[in-house]
Amino acid sequence: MGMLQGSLLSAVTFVPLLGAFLLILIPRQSLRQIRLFAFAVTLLDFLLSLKLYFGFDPTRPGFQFCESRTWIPQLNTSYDLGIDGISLFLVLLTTFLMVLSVLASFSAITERVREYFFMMLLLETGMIGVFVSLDLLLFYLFWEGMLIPMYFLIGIWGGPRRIYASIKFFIYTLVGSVLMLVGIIYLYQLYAAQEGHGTFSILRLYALDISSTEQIWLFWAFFLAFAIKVPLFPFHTWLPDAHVEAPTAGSVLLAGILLKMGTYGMLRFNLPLFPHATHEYAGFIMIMALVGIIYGSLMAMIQKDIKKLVAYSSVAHLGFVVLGIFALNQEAVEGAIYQMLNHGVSTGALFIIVGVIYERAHTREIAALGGLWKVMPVYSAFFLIVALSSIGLPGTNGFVGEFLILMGTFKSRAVFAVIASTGVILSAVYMLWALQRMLYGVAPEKHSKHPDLNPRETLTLVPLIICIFLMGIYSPMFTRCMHASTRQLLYGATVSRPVQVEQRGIETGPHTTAAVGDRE
Amino acid sequence: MNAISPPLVSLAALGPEMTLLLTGVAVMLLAAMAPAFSRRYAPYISLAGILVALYALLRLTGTVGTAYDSMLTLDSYGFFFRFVFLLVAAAAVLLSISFLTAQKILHGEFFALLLFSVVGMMSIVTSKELLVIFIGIEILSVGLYAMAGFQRENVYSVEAAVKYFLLGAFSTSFFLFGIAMVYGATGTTFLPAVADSIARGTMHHPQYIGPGLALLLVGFLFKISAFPFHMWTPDVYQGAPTPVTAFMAVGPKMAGFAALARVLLTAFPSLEVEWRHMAVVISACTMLIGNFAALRQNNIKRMLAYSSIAHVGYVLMAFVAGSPGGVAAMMFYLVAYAAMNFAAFGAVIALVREDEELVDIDRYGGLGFKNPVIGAVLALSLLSLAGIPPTAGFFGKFFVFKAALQAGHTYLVVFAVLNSALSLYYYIRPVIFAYMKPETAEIKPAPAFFSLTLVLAAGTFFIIWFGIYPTWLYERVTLTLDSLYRLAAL
Repeated sequence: MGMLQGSLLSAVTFVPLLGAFLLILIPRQSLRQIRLFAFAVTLLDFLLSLKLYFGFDPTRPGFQFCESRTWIPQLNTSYDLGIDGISLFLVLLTTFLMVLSVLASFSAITERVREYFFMMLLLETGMIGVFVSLDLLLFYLFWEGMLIPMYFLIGIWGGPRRIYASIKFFIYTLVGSVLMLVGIIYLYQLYAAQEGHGTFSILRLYALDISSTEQIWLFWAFFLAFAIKVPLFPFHTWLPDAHVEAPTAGSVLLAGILLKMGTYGMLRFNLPLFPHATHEYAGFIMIMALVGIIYGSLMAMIQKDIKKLVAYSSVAHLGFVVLGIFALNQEAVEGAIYQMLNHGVSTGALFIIVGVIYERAHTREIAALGGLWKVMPVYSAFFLIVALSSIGLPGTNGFVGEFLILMGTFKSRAVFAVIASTGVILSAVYMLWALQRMLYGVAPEKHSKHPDLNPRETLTLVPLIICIFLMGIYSPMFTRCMHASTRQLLYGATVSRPVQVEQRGIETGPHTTAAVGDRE
Repeated sequence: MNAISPPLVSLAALGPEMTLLLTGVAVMLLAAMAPAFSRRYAPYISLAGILVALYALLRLTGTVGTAYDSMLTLDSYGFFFRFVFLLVAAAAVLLSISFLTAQKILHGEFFALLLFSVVGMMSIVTSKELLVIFIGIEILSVGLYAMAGFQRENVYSVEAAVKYFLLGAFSTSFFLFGIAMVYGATGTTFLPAVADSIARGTMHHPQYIGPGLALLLVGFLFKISAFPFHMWTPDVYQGAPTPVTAFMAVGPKMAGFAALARVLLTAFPSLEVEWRHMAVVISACTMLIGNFAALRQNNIKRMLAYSSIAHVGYVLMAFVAGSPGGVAAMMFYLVAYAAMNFAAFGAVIALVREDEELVDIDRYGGLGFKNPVIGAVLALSLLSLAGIPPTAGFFGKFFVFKAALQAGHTYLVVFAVLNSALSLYYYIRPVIFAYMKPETAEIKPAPAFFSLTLVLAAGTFFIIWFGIYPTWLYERVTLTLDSLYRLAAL
């Protein structure tokens, strides 16, 4: 037990990988065993990750559950893992959504089942690895390596245009990542120039003095990679394609986890590493986020395909997250983290709901459906709750996140908050309108005899519904773990932290703290 | 001049080469005298010879010095490459067995030629004497010319041989001319002496040294198929029998790079600024041309030929750095490249049938599910060639990029990473067909060849090992640098 305690994060990260290779040993034809085994692995991993939550000390701002092993000593890079209040919930979200995604795939995937769950488990390791790495090189390995299983998930089990969508997703994200790689190596050299030996350790790099010009270049090298992943307008074009073609579980993970990697990256790298550039461009990025919110909502409004509607709503929701991050104050950043979780839960649930109806009706066209409330009452009730949470109705999780973000944004740039709040209204418009068309009215003949949710599907959705209310009503359960980490993050991101433009290597006095919103 | 003077003739120093040479001669004689026996056992005799050579080489571990009146130099840099070359030779023999059997052209001579070529490669890296390097290149090339045309019935194979021979002969004569110029300038062809002469300003005709270096570079750039001397590559790679292509894409390139690094660092450190600038331009052009031309290929051998050109561009970035880190990156890259290239070609060879080779990418439909092992190896090696972690290809690129960035060439690195992202587009195409397109009837389960499976397994193993834990190889590589730089300074 003691050993497990010492490498709990490694266990959480690599249990799925181990499971994936054990999965290959099950004969191809035993579909039932394959599905149950995959489910068991993800469930075990979720339970393991719960230990992280209960063992987490919310008063400590730094990283916890740290592990360090030598990896490539010549490069001073090591296998460093750890989580703080920001990554803790993202890890939990990953393991949680994985369990549900596997459940949701039981009936949706009927061909090449073993390969499918193999890829899913590989993906889980990759996703968790991204959130727990404290070494930039290790982070990058997970960050890019994770593209491979996702690529195959979309490309093999996706819809009719899957090949186009998957390659677009792969190359689009790769272009962003490779520039970040240049940035990573550049940081390494910079550290070597100052300290005599390079490092990829994130914690050490936080202490690096970077001149303002270099900060700007590096900031954009990292930001581009993350912005493509988020995706921030105008880099979002891969998203609707990928979502529409991906299988249900692929969409759930894409929206629920993969997009969060972008915003997580901004929090973990852009803010603390390049505080000067962050403040320089925060306004500009917030404008991009606002455009994303409005544009995503308007695009969602005119979609005929419900899955595409959800995809565009993601663009809008992630716009809120980015807005919150770059408002650079505690409320907004916590709101952003909260909203990342919300979006994972609500949009994940929405994609599962869309998947359920697609399995029955074989269409996702809003106009083709109608009157579902009479046909599938339980399903419709779930749909309604999830949609309201996505809109941000008080009492649901969405409200907490959006409220915090808007409040924080109002403090730093009031006009932006006003504009952003129209996004909330627009989200009500497209969601409720879609609900109205799909759930009410008269069911077309073709779609009037679909069975309601079966126990497995109910089991998939109920945990998400519980989460929606839990996070909406008792938010301190989550935010209490975030305070210390966000405070430290924002301290690291203050511009008054000594940044030496020309004279490197000269000792400066103790770091001075300053109120974050000072610039305004 | 020699700090260490071992006996004039040291058989042990040449042990591995001698072994290969004798094995080659034996295989050739057998082929003439007992053709049936040779057809059956030649590959295994060759493998045994390679194993003995490996043993002979390992006995030389740690031996440093010169032999044969400074014609040979034993150092850990050369040792590293000789070791890798023997593994490359073994992989080439193993790959050839199934291919030649399927095509019914398994003759003993093939293996003799292969062994001779490897002797050439090994001589290239065991010397600091330009003439020996030249002779090594010739030995290597002559074997390759004949191997390229080994499918006598196949018109493309013959074309490949003729093309390669004519252009290769040209390039080696340029190389020879370069040696003459260097000799004219400095009065010596011994690399440290050349460096000495340049550094002290005691050259007889300083005006010849620049052109001399340029002509030497022509020879090298041809061998490694770098811009602008890459034109022969696609046709020759496409026409040559596939195992020969696999060998050609790895062996001679490695030898060329190894010797290029040695020549530039040992003899021309004083012209470093010039050759580093040249490397920037050549590297950028080579990767760009390789990648763009590869985008449109449907023949996988041709695609891999252009891809190999692109990879030469990446490796050349190591010379841009000109630092020990750069040479280490080059060596790491070459080994990683060997592993992934053999794996990729192994997968292509696995699809060879009696009547024809399956080299058109658009006929790979459903390969991944009909033939899971071959499909997986192909996909893995292609992703590694594209540089996606966690594969050997990623760390190869990583080290090279790091070295170039350290030297301050940020623009070149940005250019290279964008190139590398672009390359994914053509590397992924066979994967798309193998896994995402409907099955075609042409894919049949491959006949099981243990030899081929061995190469595929080894390739996969190295790709993943170096992709997750590059430490071991990188350590080996950096240990050899010392010898390269210390003796260079001698």
